[in-house]
Amino acid sequence: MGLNELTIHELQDRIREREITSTDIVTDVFRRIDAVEERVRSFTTVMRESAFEDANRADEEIRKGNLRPLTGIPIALKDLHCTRGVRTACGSRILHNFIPPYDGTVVRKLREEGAVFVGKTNMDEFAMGSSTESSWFGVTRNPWDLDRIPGGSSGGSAAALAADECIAATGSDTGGSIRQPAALCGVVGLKPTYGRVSRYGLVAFASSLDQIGPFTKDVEDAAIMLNAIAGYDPMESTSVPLEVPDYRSFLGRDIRGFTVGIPKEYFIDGIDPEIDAAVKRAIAVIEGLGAKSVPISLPHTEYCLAVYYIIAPAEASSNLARFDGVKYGYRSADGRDLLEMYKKTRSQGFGAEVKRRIMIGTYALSSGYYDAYYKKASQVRTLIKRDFQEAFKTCDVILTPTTPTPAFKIGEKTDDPLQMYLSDIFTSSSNLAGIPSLSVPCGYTRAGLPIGAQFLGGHFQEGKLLQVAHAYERHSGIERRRPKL
Amino acid sequence: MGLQGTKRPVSSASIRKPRALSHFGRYPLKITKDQVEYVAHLARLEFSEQEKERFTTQLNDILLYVEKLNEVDTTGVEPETHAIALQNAFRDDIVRESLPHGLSLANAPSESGNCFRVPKILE
Amino acid sequence: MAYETVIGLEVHAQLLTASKIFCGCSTRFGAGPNEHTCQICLGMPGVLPVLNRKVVEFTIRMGLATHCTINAYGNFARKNYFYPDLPKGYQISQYAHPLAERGHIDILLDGEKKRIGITRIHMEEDAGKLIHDERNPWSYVDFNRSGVPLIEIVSEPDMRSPEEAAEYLRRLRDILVYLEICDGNMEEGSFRCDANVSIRPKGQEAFGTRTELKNMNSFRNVQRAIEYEIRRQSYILDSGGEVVQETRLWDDAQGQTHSMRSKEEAHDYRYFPDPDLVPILISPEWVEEVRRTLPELQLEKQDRFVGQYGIPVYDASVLTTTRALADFYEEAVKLCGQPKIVSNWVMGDLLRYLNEQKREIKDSPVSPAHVAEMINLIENGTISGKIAKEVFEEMYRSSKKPADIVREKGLTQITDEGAVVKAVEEAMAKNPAQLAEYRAGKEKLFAFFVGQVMKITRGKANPQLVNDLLKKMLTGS
Repeated sequence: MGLNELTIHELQDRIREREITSTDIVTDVFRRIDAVEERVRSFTTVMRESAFEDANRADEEIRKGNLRPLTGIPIALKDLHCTRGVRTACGSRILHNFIPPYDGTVVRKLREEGAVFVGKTNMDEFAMGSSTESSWFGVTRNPWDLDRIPGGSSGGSAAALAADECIAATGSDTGGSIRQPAALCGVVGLKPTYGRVSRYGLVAFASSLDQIGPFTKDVEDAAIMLNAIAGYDPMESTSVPLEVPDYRSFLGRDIRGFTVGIPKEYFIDGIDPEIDAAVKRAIAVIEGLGAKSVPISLPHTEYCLAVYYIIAPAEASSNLARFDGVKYGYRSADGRDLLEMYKKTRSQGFGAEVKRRIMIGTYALSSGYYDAYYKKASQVRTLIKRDFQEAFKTCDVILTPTTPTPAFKIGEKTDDPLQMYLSDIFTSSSNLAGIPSLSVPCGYTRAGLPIGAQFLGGHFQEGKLLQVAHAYERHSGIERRRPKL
Repeated sequence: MGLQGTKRPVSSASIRKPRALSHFGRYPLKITKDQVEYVAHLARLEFSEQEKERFTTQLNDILLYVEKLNEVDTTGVEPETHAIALQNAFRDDIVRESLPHGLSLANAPSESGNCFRVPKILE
Repeated sequence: MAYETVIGLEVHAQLLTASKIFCGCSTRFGAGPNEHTCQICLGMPGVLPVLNRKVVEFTIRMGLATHCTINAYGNFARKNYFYPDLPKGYQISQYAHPLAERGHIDILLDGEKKRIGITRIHMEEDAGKLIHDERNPWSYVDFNRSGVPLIEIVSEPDMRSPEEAAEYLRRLRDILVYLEICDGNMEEGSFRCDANVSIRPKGQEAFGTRTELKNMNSFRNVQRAIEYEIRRQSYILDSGGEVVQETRLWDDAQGQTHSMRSKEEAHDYRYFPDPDLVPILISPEWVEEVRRTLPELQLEKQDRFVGQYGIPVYDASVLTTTRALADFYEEAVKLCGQPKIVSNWVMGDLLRYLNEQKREIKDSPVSPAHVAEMINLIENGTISGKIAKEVFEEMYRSSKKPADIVREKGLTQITDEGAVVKAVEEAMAKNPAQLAEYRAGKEKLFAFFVGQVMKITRGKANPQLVNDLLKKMLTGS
């Protein structure tokens, strides 16, 4: 078994015992990348050279006895974290040559904690999608079935981790972009509370919804990663100045007496029956651990997606206006005057899904429609947030399926945007309410595709989420499988 | 078409396809081709005739879907712009280093004399 | 037909903060292109704005100085449009919730006081600078100015003549400069003005169609542009036409306004609250804290000078033109206790020298202590007023202390009667013809002899003594 198959905490133990070096781990990781990347296509940029340099430095620190929580651990970064000197393309032609002059806060923090960066992972263009099919750099495949999508938008990170091409990875989640691919690829994905992890240096999709989070092989690793990246950042106005607890300290605690809310609106006709059954088994496991499950209602659930598909495109239409061929990125050579340059650059530089969302968002904000769309959606968002506030008065966490279906076939939904959008049906509510949520593997379909269960918690209740998910993970009785590649 | 992996069509309110998808044409268009052109201009995008047709249809589907928000009574409800309510996030008025020389323009598609160069505005 | 003019002004003032509104880049003028830029003010992917607290404080200051209500809740919105000098494709501005609203300032025109309403004052970021090349098909963008803090001050349509508009603008600038929140430099663009101008038949209540005038970079041009626009609109209405609502650019060289030729796009800015910024809540305590730091404004200071120093209103108005000048004056008065004499020297010699060299009072080579010391020298008879002129000039040139100048140049007044008698005798001896004429009754020649004595004593003779002795000695009595 290669070191690349281990978790962060397993590797940490062996590093601490001086059994292995970071270079050993990185060597195994790149051996794996060389073996499977051609088929999976998780990465847009592989950072082989600098990874070995990072590993050398880490080994130096290890020799000196300076062990940080991530020292020497190979991590893959979604390609929308700005990385100084390393291309950051966001899956888009319009940024295909953009080399940021600065590191985002999360990248800086991971570096400070000793991480080794393996590469930048593929994603739906500007994180708009649920399948990683809209990237200008090509489609990423699900390691469990190469004919299927890995989910999106952080599909590259989920696939790289599921394929053991890294030890952990980062993603961003605007409407489910961490949790949905985590579920479809059989790994843990965590979206923290809005404002818990700095967005500085994260290329924005929808500013009021975006949040960075980790992909890990188990819940303990998620706690380790969150410890590393969480915290107040003075570079972000929406960063929350709250102390960060040691998330690892929540692990292994008893969940006896916990109340788990089961919202009826998330268990509906149309969910894949195998998913429905797997999540219900998860509820039983948790009850077996002494927690109590209670039926709850989140009455505005059915409006989440509609709200999401107004607010996210509206913010995106504005966030993506900076891509105009003036300061960085792609510029069309066909524009003879300024207006033509703008239109050709943006039309050639953006893919169909991004243009579609820019169009929806521009329309929703345009004169005469603002109240009917953007304002209305923002009001319903308030009601959705209130639903959760009410719910968390009666329960500690909420448990739902992460996705309505397992991974679908490549190309299956590309011509039907609305069907694609339905992939976010259980995940977008967390972003609208700003609450943390986490997807943890809860079984496999008969066809061998992973299934995810989603835990949702109140604002800044990541500790509780990790505690429950960790207890579930240890007692779920689900064998740990690896995709056959 | 329902959600993948199910035989039954999706029938729940929450993941129902908008009515107009299956009865397209019986409902008034939410957005016309003219509006698509206007919005495209605002967003500095251009489309072929074929793309315009397709976009008009797709945008209509999406706009009809989000119509369902009209079912919600939002009288007196404050619109939410932020997931977490914060206020007064300030920085002190302290000058910090600008980008080192050359890095500001390092990504410029076209530059001249330390300025970003763009095609002229045609009047 | 007789028309009445209606004018409202929108003024943009650059705030004198050290750093930009949303990032730490310097706001200093005059750096090489794009040297004061970073990922934030260049609108690079991934960056976020964090508001400079001083911008809020400066805006509250202006709000208080113009008698506005300071709103307890403010926020920022995005104004979306594409232009090469706008790096993010939107400008961060205030829209639905500005910081200050419903104020006024009073202007004085031909001795009549008039109140001009202030609709609102809001904060926003400046754009970069677009430089056009006349010879080739390119434009160039310098983002140094991008993110420099601005306040926009919107007036009510309360002005009825170009003179009123110009006076309002001057007062507004005086206040900004007094508050030390803007340098008020129109030529360099740190104080900019757009004018909304319409006319209506006298007596009509409804406003006429207005045009928006831009590109006027001096007080004079604002007045000229409005005057031109009134003539143009009157001509259109008189000949049965209709004024088109549009933006017009002032052409200084031609003395005309021109319609902006580029297709006047329907403005659809798609304002929405900026999700990257959080609301600004201003407590009454914060407002009071700012109010306490508010300096005495010009009119208050002017009134105080008249009362406290007993100088004429005109003097007080000149001396309070800027805070620095007023402070200079008060310092000098404190040191010598001669308000009117200090006023004469400051308004006369000092301002003349400074103006000749286009220098600011803060760069004056003469200090208030110098002026006071020199006045003391006159008062105690060490030098004459005439010699003082010479001393002042030298003081301005060399920044030397007046006592040193007097000593080095030997300018001490001659008060010794014997020495002056000698000089008078010499003057009489040298000019026998004039003496004879004087004694024959040509009394005008008295001044001639004063001049002669002063020439002989190199101006140092005490003038009173010269007078007395001449009167006695010329008549030969």
